Amino acid sequence: MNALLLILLAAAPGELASQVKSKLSDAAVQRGTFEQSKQVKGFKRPLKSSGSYVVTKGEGVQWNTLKPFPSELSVKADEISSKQNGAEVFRLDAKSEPTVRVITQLLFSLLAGDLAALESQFAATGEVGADRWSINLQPKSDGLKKVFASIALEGDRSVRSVWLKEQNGDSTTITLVPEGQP
Amino acid sequence: MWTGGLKVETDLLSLLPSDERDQAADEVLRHLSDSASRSVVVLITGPTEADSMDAADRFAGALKLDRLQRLAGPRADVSALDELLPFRDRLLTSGQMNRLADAAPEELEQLALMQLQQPMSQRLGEFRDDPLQLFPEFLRERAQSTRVRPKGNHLVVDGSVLLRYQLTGAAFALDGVAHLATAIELAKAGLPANVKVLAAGVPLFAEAAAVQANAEVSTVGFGSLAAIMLIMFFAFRSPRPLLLVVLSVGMGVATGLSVCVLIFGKVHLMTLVFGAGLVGVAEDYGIHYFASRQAQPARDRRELLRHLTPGLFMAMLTSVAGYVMLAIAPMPGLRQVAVFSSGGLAGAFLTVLAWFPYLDRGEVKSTRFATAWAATRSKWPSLSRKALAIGVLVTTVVTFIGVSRLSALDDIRALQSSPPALIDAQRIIAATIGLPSPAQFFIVRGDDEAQRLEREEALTLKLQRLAKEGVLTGHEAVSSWVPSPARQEAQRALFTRTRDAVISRLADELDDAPGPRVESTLLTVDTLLATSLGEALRPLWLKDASVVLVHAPKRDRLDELGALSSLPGVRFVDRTADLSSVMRRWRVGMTELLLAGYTVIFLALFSRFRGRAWRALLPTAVASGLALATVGFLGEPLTLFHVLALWLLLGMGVDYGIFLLEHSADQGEAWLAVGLGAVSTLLSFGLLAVSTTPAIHAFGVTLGVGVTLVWLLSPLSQQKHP
Repeated sequence: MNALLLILLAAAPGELASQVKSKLSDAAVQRGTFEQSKQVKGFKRPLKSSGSYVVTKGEGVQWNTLKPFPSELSVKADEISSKQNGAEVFRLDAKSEPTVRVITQLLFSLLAGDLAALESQFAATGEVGADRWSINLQPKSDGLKKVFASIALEGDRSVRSVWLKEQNGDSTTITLVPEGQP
Repeated sequence: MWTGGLKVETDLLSLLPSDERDQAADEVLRHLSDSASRSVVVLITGPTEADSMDAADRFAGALKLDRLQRLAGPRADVSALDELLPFRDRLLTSGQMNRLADAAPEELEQLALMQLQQPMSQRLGEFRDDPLQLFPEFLRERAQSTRVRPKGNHLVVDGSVLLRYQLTGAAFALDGVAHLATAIELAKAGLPANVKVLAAGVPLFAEAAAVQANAEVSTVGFGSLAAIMLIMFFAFRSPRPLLLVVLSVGMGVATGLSVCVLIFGKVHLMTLVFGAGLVGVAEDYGIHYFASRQAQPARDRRELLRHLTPGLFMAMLTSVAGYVMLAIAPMPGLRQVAVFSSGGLAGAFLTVLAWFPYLDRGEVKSTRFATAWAATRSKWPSLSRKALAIGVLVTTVVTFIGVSRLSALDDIRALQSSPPALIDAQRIIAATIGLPSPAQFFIVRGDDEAQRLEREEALTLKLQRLAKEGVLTGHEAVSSWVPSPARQEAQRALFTRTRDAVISRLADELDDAPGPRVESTLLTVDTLLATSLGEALRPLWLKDASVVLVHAPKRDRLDELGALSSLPGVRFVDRTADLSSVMRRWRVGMTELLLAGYTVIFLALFSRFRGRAWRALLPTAVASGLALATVGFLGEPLTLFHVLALWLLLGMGVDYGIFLLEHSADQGEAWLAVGLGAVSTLLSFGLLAVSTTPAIHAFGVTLGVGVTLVWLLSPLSQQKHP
């Protein structure tokens, strides 16, 4: 088992990506519910929230928080915007802020488990089993290193959990429950 | 004087008048052009961003040129962020001010939590210091003045990579060789074919202008010199007249250059192009001397020269007078041309006077060419007063028709003649990376720093509104980073109230506060300018005025920007419009003055020729009218430079009349001298018409047509042979 793990860890980057890809379903649209627990530095307890999500391949992510209070986050390739009670509170587009694309691409790739895309920004190590897989990501560029300490992904036919550890001391755990995959 | 090497200036703008109204505007322009005149930017675009980065690295490695220094890639924006962090409670956007002003505490709390719960939200600093993350939003908004973003070691904009270079040390040696363009082409040659390279910057324009002018100086200079030598050879068939005339011209040019360097310290390229044209005028005196010698071989040459001197002197004086009028226009470049040419003519004249009698020993043989030419004078009709009157009437009508077709052009942009590819590259790069307009900007004044900043804020508020209407795309101002003290206080109060409201509502959820807060102090301009971010803003903050730059102002809506001059302490500077209006004023003024010029020249002629003076002046007047009409018939627009050329024509054309009047008894040799002089002037100044620099071209056309006409018309107005 240990030997197998070593072999998997040593696998060439492209191989890991294609192995993970082979496990993932290729549905164009994935819906589900999420639970998020975020430990923010300075807070005594983690902040918990839950709601629903839609990931549309190549188009965007819709992140609708329902609890503790409703808000909507819409992420497209060139734009991030959020609404609260139907009123827009925030909008960033790539036209005025080109770095928006870095953020949107990262979120797309994380929620879709697109390891091939992630490997351009992160060094990936991981384990691919019969049903489940887990990946650990270390940022490569100085820019991302300033933000993320590390990222971990876990999943089966789709991404099931995302774990983000930030340099500022915050950490976030997101658990996804895709529709029809209890 | 010559040991230091000749300094040559190429900036066409230096030919133009300095701002007549505002010294601060001049200082701003100097600042802007100082930094701009050294900077070269290269935009490299590959199929993908990664390709662009790869190509940029290869390009930067291959671009090798002395004194061209690559500027560090990304700016140290992170350290600037740290430097401003202590002042964040004083830095809000106007959007935040509106939003926070009357938000209820529970709304603010929800907003803070919502931001935290959204995935990928970035938190800067401690939560309790800025729970709504107002500072990152402020930075984001301010960063929008440019779309260039650092990425690793590169500056990236829309998938392209930007390389910045600076010329170090003294100005570039402009020797007519395209060093910079060639180096860029070579570096580009090593890149894959699907990579696009655009380069822009003042040094490239200056170099292109130098290469072009250098070619023109050679064409005009060598062309006219060769023509003169050929004519001299045919007319005199002897090396001595040829060598001596070339000597007088050479002495003239050397005198002109020396006087120029003495007075101005450097010589403008346009002066050199003009200087080449001077060759065609300065030789007149020598030719006149030899034509007279040839006609009267027996006469003692010193005695002959004494006899010629008053006429030559008068001719030189009228020419110099024409050039001096150029110096009246408030254009430093034209002053140089005037000084150069006046000095040159005087030098050539004095050479003839002082050296010719000593160097010109032996006789000047008559040649068949010279005799045949001189003989044509007798066949050339001289018109009766009645016939002249009819002729003048007819040409006046023709002149009116031609002049009525003229349309004036005073737009300074029309004077530029840079290669279109370079202009395109400049335009694309400016639009891509967001360069401020170099010709339109605001100057803001105030009694102290606080008032100046307040006035800037009043202005930028209006500019933001106009930007929403599309009049401009953005602005740059020091007050964007350093609000006025009053505004800082208001923002600090709002920021503190907002922060404390959120923190107190979340008190149960949060760790205990680490201790009492340190109050922030006033952010001053000096503090900002000392940061790495402030470095770029330093040119905007002058001793007693500050500058607000605008991005991509719409040309047809500049009057809306101009209307903002009504704000206290604010002045809109539209350099393009200012210069164009100066050009127009001088075009009209110099045209009106031309009449006065004719009067002065007439009085000078009258003092020597009395009742015959008009005969020397009339051909020039008629030729000037017809030259102007020709410009109209050619469909070319009338510029200040056409009018200035008419001044030169007055100065030179009268010479021919003088020479012919001086020899009224037998005009054969004078006719030869006038003919030789006219043909060589024609060849030198006429060659200026091939110039692609519109100003020089205008001189060439006007003088080419004018000189030809004066030459052909001059005999007509002479008294009939007895």
